[in-house]
Amino acid sequence: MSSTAAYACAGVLAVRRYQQLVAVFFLGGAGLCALLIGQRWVELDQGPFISMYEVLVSGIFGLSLLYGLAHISQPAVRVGAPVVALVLVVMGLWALYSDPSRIPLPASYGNPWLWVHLVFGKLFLGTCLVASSIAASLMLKPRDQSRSQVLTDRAWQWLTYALLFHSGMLVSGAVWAQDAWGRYWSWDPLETWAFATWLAMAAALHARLSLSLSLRMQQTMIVGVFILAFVTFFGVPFVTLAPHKGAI
Amino acid sequence: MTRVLRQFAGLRLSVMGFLLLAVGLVVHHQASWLAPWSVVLPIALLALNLVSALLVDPRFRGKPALFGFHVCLLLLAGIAAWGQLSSLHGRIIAIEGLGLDPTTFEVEADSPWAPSPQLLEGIAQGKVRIDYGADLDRRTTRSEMYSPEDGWSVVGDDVALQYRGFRVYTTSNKGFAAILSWVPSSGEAQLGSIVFPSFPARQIMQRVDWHTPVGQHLQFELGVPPVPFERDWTLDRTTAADAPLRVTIGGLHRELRAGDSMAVAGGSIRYERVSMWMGYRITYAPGLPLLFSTALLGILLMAVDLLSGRHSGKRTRSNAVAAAAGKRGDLCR
Repeated sequence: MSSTAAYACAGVLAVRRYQQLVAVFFLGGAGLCALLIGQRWVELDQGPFISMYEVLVSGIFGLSLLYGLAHISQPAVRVGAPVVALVLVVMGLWALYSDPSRIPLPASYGNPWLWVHLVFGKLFLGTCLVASSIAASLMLKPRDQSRSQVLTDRAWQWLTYALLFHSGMLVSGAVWAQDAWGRYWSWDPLETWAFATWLAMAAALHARLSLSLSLRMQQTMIVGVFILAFVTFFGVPFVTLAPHKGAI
Repeated sequence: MTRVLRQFAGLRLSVMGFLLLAVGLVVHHQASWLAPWSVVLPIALLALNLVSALLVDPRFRGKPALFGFHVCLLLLAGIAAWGQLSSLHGRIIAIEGLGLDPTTFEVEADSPWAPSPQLLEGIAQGKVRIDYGADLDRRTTRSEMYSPEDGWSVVGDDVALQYRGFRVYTTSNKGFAAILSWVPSSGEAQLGSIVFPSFPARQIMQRVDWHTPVGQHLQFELGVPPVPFERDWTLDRTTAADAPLRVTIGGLHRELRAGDSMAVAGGSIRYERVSMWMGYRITYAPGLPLLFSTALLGILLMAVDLLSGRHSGKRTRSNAVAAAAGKRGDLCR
C-alpha cells in the first residue's frame, strides 16, 4: 500500500517536474517492496515465484528499481516518469486486491537456473518499460520534431537492451525447463507468448530499419511491444493451464 | 547469383518472415494438423533471408559481433531442426528392485532419426523416497538408479539420469507395486509385479484388475494406511510395508501378507513384497549442449554489438540526418 502511494507521489512530482524527488520515490517504493518480499520470504520460507500476488509484488520491485536507477543515470528517460508511475500504481492496486495466500513451491523450483531466468525477466520488463514510457509520453504530449526524434531513438536503444535481456530470459528459461519438466521448449501458452514478444521486438527493430515509419508509428510499435510483454507476464500464466505449477 | 541473393536479403522480407512466424504460432495452436509446418516454413524463409543477408548485405561489414549474432541465429535454427529430427520423448515406469523394461516405454513424440528405447536396457531402479509437507505438499524426490555407465546415482526433481544420450527425469507419478510370483502347476515360477494407481494422488483407489497367465480374473487391493495431512512425512516402500493385499476371485476375498501364497486356476500366486514404482519422463535430445552454447554465444555477441556503441550511435545520427532532410531513417542496420 505504502509503495503504491510512493509511486503515485512519484507520478505527481514527475508531472510537476520535481525530478530529483521522483527517483527517490521510485527507489523508496522499490525498497518498501523489497522489505515486503523479504518479510514474506522469511515467514513462508519460499520466494515470490508462484501466485499472482507474488509475481505482481516482485514485478513492481524490479520495475521501480530499474526505472529509478535509469531515471538517475539517464536524464532522457525522465519524460516517461508519469507513465511508469501510472503502470506501477495500477500494478500496486492489482496486488492489493490479489490473494496473498501461500501456494506451495514445486520441488523443481530449487534449480539455480530459475534465478537466472527471473533476473533476465526483470531486466527485460524493466528496460521494455523504460522504452515504452518514453514512447508513450511522446504520444501523449508531442514534442518538437528534433526532440521527438532524439527521444524516440533513445526509446529504441532501450528496446534493443530489452531484446538482449529477453533473449537471455528465453535461453535460461529453456535450461531450467529442461531440468524441471524434461523439455526445453514445448510451445505451451506462456512459452508461445514469450516467443511472440521476442518476435514482436525483432520485427519492430527490423521494420524501423526497412520501412519508412513515422515517429508516431515507431512509438506505437514500442508501446505495443510492452503491452504484449505485460500480457505475457501478468496475464497468460494465470488464464492458461498454469504449466509452472506442480503436482502432488 | 548476387542479384538473386539480394532479392532474398531484404529487411522487408525479414519483417514479413517475423509476421508469418507469428501467424504460424497461432495456427500451430489452433490447427494441430498444420503443425509443425506453420512454424517450420516461416523459419525456413527467415533462414533463407538471413543466409542471403549475411552473404551480400553491406551493413554487416565492420560489425563482426552483429554478423556473429546473426550466424548464431542461423546455427540455432539448424541445430534445433537436427534436434527435432533426432528426438524421442516418452514415459516409462520402473519398479524398485527390478530392471527397467524398455518394452513398456510409451512414446509421446517420435522423430525419423530417433534411437530405439531398447538402448535403455541395463538401467535398474533402487530405493525411492519422496518427502511431503502438510497438506500433501510434495517436496524432495530421491530415486536411486543404476546405469551400467555410472553405477548407482540419485536422481529426482531437476536432476536427471543421463545414459546413452537419454535423460531420465522423475515425475510426480509414483505409487506402490505388489511383487508376485506366479507358480504354474507345471513349469518354472515367474516373478512379476502388479502396479497400483498413483499414490497419494489416488490413495483411496488402490485397486487393480489382473488376469493370470491361464486367463483367470483377479482383483487386487492394497490396504495402504491413510497418509498424515497435518505434518511432514516421507513416502517410501515402508509406507505400505505392512499393508495387506486383498485378492478377490469370483466374489470370494482373501487377504495376503508378504510371503503368503494362494491357489488359483492353473497354479498359485505368492505375494513376495510391496515395492514402490516411479514414473519417469524420458527425453532424447542430442543437440542440447550445442544449442545452449550457440545461444549463449549469440547473446554475448549481441551484447558486444550493443556495448560497442557504434550500432546505436550511427543509427541515431543517420536518423537525425534523415529527419532533418525529411527522408526515411533506414540508412543503417
